[in-house]
Amino acid sequence: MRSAAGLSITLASCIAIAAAGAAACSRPGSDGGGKVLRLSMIPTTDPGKMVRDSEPLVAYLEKATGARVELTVPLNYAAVVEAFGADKVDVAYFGGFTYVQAHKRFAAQPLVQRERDQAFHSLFITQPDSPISALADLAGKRFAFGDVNSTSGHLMPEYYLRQAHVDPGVIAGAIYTGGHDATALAVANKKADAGALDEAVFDRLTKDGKLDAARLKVFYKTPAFFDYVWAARKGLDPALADAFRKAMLALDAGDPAHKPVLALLQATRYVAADDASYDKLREAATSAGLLK
Amino acid sequence: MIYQLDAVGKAYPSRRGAVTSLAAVSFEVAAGERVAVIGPSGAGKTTLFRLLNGTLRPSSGRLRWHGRDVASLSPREARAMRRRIGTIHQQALLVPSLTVLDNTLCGALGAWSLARALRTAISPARGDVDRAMAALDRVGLADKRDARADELSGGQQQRVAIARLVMQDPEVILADEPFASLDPALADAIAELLLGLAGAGRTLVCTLHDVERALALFPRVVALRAGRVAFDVPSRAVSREALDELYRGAPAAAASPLQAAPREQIVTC
Amino acid sequence: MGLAAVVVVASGAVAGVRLAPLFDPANHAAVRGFARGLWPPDVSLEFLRVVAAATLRTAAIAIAGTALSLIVALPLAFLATATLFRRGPLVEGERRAPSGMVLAAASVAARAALGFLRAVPDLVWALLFVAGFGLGAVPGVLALAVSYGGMLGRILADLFETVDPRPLEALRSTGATRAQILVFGIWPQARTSAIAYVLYSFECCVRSAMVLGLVGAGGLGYEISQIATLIAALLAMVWLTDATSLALRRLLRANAPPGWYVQRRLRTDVPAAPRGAIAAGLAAIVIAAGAAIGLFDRGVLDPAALGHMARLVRDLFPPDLAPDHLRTLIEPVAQTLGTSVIGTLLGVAIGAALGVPAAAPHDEDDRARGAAHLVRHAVRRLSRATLSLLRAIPDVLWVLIFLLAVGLGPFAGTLALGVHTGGVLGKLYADTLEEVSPLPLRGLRATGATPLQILVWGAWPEARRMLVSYTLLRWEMNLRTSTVLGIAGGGGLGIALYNDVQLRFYPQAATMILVVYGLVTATGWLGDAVLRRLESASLATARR
Repeated sequence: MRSAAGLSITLASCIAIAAAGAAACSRPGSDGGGKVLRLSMIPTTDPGKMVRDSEPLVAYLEKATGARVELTVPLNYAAVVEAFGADKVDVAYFGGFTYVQAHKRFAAQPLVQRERDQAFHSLFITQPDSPISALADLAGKRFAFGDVNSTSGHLMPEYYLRQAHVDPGVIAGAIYTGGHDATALAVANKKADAGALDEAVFDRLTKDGKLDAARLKVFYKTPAFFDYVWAARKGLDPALADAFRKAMLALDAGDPAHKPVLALLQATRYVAADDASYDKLREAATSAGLLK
Repeated sequence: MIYQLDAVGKAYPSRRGAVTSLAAVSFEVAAGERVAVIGPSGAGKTTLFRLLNGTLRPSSGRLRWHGRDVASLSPREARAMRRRIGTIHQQALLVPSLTVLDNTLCGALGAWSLARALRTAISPARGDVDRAMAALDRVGLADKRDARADELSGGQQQRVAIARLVMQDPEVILADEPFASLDPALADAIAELLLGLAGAGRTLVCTLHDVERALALFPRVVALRAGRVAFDVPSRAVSREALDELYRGAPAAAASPLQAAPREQIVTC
Repeated sequence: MGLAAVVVVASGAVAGVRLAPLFDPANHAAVRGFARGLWPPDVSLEFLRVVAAATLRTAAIAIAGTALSLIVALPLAFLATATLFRRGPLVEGERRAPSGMVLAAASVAARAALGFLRAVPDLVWALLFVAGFGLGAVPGVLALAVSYGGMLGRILADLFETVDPRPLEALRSTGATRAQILVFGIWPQARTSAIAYVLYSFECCVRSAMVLGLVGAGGLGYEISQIATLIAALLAMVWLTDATSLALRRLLRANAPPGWYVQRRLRTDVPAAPRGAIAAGLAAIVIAAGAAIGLFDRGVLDPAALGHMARLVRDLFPPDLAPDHLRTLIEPVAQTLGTSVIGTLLGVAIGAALGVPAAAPHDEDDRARGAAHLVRHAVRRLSRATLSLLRAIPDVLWVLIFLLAVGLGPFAGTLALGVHTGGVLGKLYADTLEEVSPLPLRGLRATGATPLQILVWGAWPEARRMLVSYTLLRWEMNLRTSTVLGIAGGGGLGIALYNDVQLRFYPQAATMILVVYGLVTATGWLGDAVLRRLESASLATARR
């Protein structure tokens, strides 16, 4: 049982807090000709740790773009979107669903994404001895989503539940655990009958031995959908946006200097991103009443 | 005329209807006069006193201060009036957790801006400290400047209150039972201080339950009974019969100096 | 009485109170397993360095946040103090005058404004300031300042109203203005209690900043053994704050008359502190803290900030008042009400059980040594330490523990709420009891009263106003911020609001703010009614 993990709800629920977590990482020494690139990422783990771990990325981007790079990671998704909308952040790393929101409200422009971001899956899990073996069996059961703003932990699982015409009471009565790992734990500890979480997180949890795979069974895997993407704010200097795009696209797994950067981003290579790829997410969000 | 009271009355609202404390009181006080106000407990002395120092406003009748109706004063003017009236209460009513010096400095608040008051609260100016120390010296408490007010005896507290009054430098001194909580020797000393202050051209109005002392120290006596003036005469003209009549039926008023807290007095007097 | 019983039973039903799981050995094993996982704590140099840096940063954020919250709270508290503007002898002469009525209205408005500052969730405040000032520590500090300012202001106003009014009347009769009366008459009487609460508020800031900054959002950042280290760091900060609070209060009471529980040791060896030096020192610390987190950076005063903040506020309007939406709020409101009632009652029970023994006695003959004295001293220390621990363990961790103990559902959240509330209330109760004037107590002791009788007849009448006030404010807080319930799958307003904000359903969030404001106002009324009841009851006793 790791960390007060996943219990991000209260945690994230105050940014009073953006404060403590949001350590900024910048190096005053670099010459950027005065240009500054303000980066932000939605918190996928502890923000302070994300900032500390991202130093190779910041260093790489400063060298490649020639701008001074400031990375700030707040404690919740909404803060990234708001700061982006207030022109306080130039380029941000969004989840699929948060990108759709930021695009609709603030005309976020997609830049690049990992190859794997184009084929994300959500897994539906339950206990091995559970009678649940298909989506239809969920009627009357207690279901767990992750964070409400998560693409693979909430938006797409809900979409496929609706597509399968599962009893609407399952969605209405579902709980939000706040994170993928918390969902896994809730189901493993029989605190919920079933739940949905990100496939990649599930694989990592079981591979690291943080989760005993024997305590869970996967009974449904969603079709592939688009998830994380780097996007620029509307009105950002096109030259700067382009420099960022080129720098990310140039990341090469064969180059030893790029290895640590790709490793921390859990990527093999980057590809150009396109807004049209997110039509399906938009439809999912709109049809579920999650995008206003 | 400093004060002109014309059928001044004061009633307090209460759950059982209004409680009348003063019915209709009329008298005048001229500049430089020394007046004692006597009467049994519950006669309305403390209410009268709070009317005279501007804490309360009359609910009927008219109270004039330097010819101006008190009811018509703006808050700013009312404040100016209070600044010119120095008050000595039955209990000293010092701020318990402040030092003797701070309590004395408080006397000058009426003359100060908020900024000056704040500055004084943090670190008083040299000149102000000197004035306060002179006042404390006058009451013989200069050596207690850093003691907390609640550390002092009742008599010492009353002397600090007088030092605060000296600091305020008012033109009228109102004293409400200033000797009530003191033993006779102390009372004499305090009386001397008060009369000494009043001697310098100031007006002194003092409520007293101790009739002997009132007659001995004040040339004029105003007697209250049941919220009205029973008599208002020079002290040498006060007769035994008049006094008996004044205190008739009152439960040994002169011998009951036990003070209830003013909060309760609002209801009872 | 009957009504109260009905409310409690109904709340218990909503809160999902079930005692059986508490005695289930399987659940005990799960909790034990969790506790074992906490040991041994991670004390690797690398991690300690991270913790130390975060602790310093947390301290800077909390200092700046507390200082700013005082700037928000003091003027509003001054204006909201009823005895200065609305009732009592100071107002009596001017109540009828137009200016008096304006001031009275302003005073009522100030109290309402304090309620509003509290009713808007800190999450929304934070987003507002993020829109204005970008990401980083500054919006966080501002959000802390505003929401804690609302609480601090309310408590300060209550403290200001409870001071002895007679010296105030004496000051007023020298021509002092209300602000001057505050400085020279009210503040000196209220300062020890006020400082105790300001430092408690600082402790809350530390907790918010530290817990949220260190434990992190996604949660994959820390191993469970690191959690133990973080709790130790938090406990150290809580303890340090407590000690500072005690020391400051002692310093201010350095030459108090005999009877105050501290005078024995300090009477002679602490010099009257030079106020100028203390004020300058405090100001320096605050400015240094503010500078450390970038509060004075040039970018902070961006003229576009107001525009961005206005945009966010516009997005909140108009609140969604459609009947369909309002219907969806009924359930969370009921859940929040139910769990907050049970959680607060539990907190009051724990707080009273630990807070009373944690209060230092006013005994003068406490000097007497011997076994009884030592036992009493040990009990006091132990109670204080337990209270600190209850507060230092973040409520999210309590939820996790109770989830294992009683399973998913509102009850786990309610228990977590109760335990944390107990830690807070116990501390506030103890501080309040220590601030009761010793003189009446001494009179009672002279009559041969037992300690319990002294508590009931001497301390309670003096302290009850603030005891009730603290309890109600905590209840109100449990109503407002019980997001822990959501974590435990118990629903409630907290999670509903979080979800609305995350999805940028701002008009719906605005509706929720209105609902919370209604609840805050209602608890305020209830509190006033309870106090009036208590006061008239004691008057009746006194008359008899």
